Amino acid sequence: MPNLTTSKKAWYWKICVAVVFLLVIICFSPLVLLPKELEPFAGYLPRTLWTSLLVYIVLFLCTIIGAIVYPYNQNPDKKQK
Amino acid sequence: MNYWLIIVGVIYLGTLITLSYTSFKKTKTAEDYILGGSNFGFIIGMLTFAATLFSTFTFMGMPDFFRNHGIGSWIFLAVSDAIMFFGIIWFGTKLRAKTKTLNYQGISGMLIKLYKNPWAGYIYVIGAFCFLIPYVSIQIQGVSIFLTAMFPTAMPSWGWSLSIVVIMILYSEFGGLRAIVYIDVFQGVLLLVIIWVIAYGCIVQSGGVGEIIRQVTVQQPDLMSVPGPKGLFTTQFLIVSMISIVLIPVTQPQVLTRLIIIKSEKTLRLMSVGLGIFAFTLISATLFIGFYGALNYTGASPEDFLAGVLLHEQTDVVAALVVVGLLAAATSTADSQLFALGAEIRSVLLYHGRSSVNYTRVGILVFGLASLVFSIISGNQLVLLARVSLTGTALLAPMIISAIVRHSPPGKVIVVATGFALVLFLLSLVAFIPDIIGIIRLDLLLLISLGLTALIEGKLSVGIGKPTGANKTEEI
Repeated sequence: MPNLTTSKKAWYWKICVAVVFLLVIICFSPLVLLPKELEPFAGYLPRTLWTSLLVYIVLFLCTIIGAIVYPYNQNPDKKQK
Repeated sequence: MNYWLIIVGVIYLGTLITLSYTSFKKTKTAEDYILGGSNFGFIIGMLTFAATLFSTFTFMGMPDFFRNHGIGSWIFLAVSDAIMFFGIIWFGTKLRAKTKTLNYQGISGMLIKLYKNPWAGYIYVIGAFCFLIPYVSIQIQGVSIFLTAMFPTAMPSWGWSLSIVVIMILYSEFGGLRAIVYIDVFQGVLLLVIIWVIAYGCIVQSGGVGEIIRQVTVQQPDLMSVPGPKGLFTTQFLIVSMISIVLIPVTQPQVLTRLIIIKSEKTLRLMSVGLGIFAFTLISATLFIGFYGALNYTGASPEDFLAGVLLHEQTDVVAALVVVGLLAAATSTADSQLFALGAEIRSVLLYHGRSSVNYTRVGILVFGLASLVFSIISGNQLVLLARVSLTGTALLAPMIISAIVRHSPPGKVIVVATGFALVLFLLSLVAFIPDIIGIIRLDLLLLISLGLTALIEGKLSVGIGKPTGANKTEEI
C-alpha cells in the first residue's frame, strides 16, 4: 500500500482497531460461545470451531493490514543500546 | 530408541555448546550480554519470540487440553494469541520509541525512571518473581515427570529437573542473551517440526482432517462446544485468559525484551505477521493431537496419553526427537525467563549505582535454584498453573502501560493499587479470601479495577495541570 498519507494511515489503523474490538466482542458473545450448541455446521465443522477459526483468520488479516498502515513510525529506526 | 536418543541428544547438546561459545566470543560489553547486541532480524526475532512464548505448556498441555476440554482451547490460546500479535504492532512501537530515550536495561529500571519512584521497580520485580518462578518451574516439572515415566530406571524426577536447570544456567551464564536467542531459534524450529510430524501421524491414522473432526463431533459432541465436558471454558474464564495472554508482551520481561532487541520497527511489524502464521501452525497441530487422543485415549491419564501418542506410537528416531523436542520446549522458555529475572535484578540495582553483569549472573543462579525447588514440590496441573502465572503478571500491565504511553511520570496511586492487587490475588490463591466476588471472578475484577485506576489517574493528572511535555521523562 504505497504512498499513503499519514492521516490516511491513521484512519485505516483506526478501522483495524475497531474491527479487532468488534471481533473480540463477537468471539465472547453467544454468536461463538453458545453453550452445548453444535449447529450451524460449516461442512463438517461445528459452530464454535468454524466461527473461532474465522475470527482467527480475520484477526490475522487485521494484523497484516495494521502492520502496513500503522502510522506512528516516522522516526528513523535506531540501533537500540 | 536408546541408540537414537544418544545420537540425537549428542547433536542437541553439541548445538547448544556451539551456539553458546559463538555467542560468548561475540559478547564484548555488559549491554551485549544483557541485550544481545539488539540487532536481530525478522526471522530470528520471530523464532526467539515464538520459542519463548510457546513452551512445555503448548507441547504437552495443549494436546491434553483439547482432549479433555475441547474446542474452547482454540479460543483460549489461538484467538488470544492472534489478538496479542495485533497489539504488538501498537505496543511494540510505543515501547521502542520510549526506550530510545532511556538507555533500556530492564523493565524495573525503566519503571523507576518513568515513575521517578523506586517502588514501581520493586513491585514489578516482586510480582515477576512471585508469578514467573512457578511458570519456570512448571516447564521444568512437566518434562521431568514425563521423562521419569518414560525412563523410570534412569534417574528420579528431581534428577531430570536438576539436569535441565544446570544446562540452562550454564549456557545462560556463559553466552548471555545472544546465546539464548540463537538457541531459541534452533529450538523453535525443532519444536514446530516435531509437533507436526506427530500431528501428521495422528491425522493419517484417523483418516484425514475431516474424518478426525467428524468422529469427535459424533462420539464426543461436548468437546465440540463450550464450556466443554468438564465445564471449564466459561465465558468469564476465557475473557480473563484472553486478557492475561494478550498482556504477556507487556508484563513478562523475557517477551518484552524481544520487542526491543530486534533491528527496527519494520522488523517488529513483520514479526507480528510471522507470529500469526507460526501460532496457527503450531496450535492447529496440538488440536489434531488432542482430538486424536479424545478418540483413542478416552479416560487415560495425561501421562499415558502423552507417552502413547508422543513416544510409543512413533518410530524410534521420531521418539528420540520428541524427547529432545520436549527438552527444547521447556528450556527455550525457562532459560529466557531466568535470564530476564536476573537482568531485572541488575536493572533495579542500577538505580543504586551497581552495574556489574555479575548481579545478573547471580540472579540467574538464585532464580534457577528457586525454580528447581518449586518444580520438585508443586503439583502437575501445567496449563492451569501457567494461567495463574499469566494472570498474576497481567496485574502489572496497567502500571507498565501507563509508564509507556504517558509523557509525564504517572502518579503513585497506580503503584500502590498494583501492589494491593498483587496481595489480594496471592491471598485468593491460598484461599485466604474468596476468588469470586458476587458473580465476578476476583482476577477479572482486579484487572478491570487496575485498568480503570490507570485511566482515571491519567485523566485527572492532565486535568489538574501536571506537566505533559514529551521531554519530561528524558530529564530523568
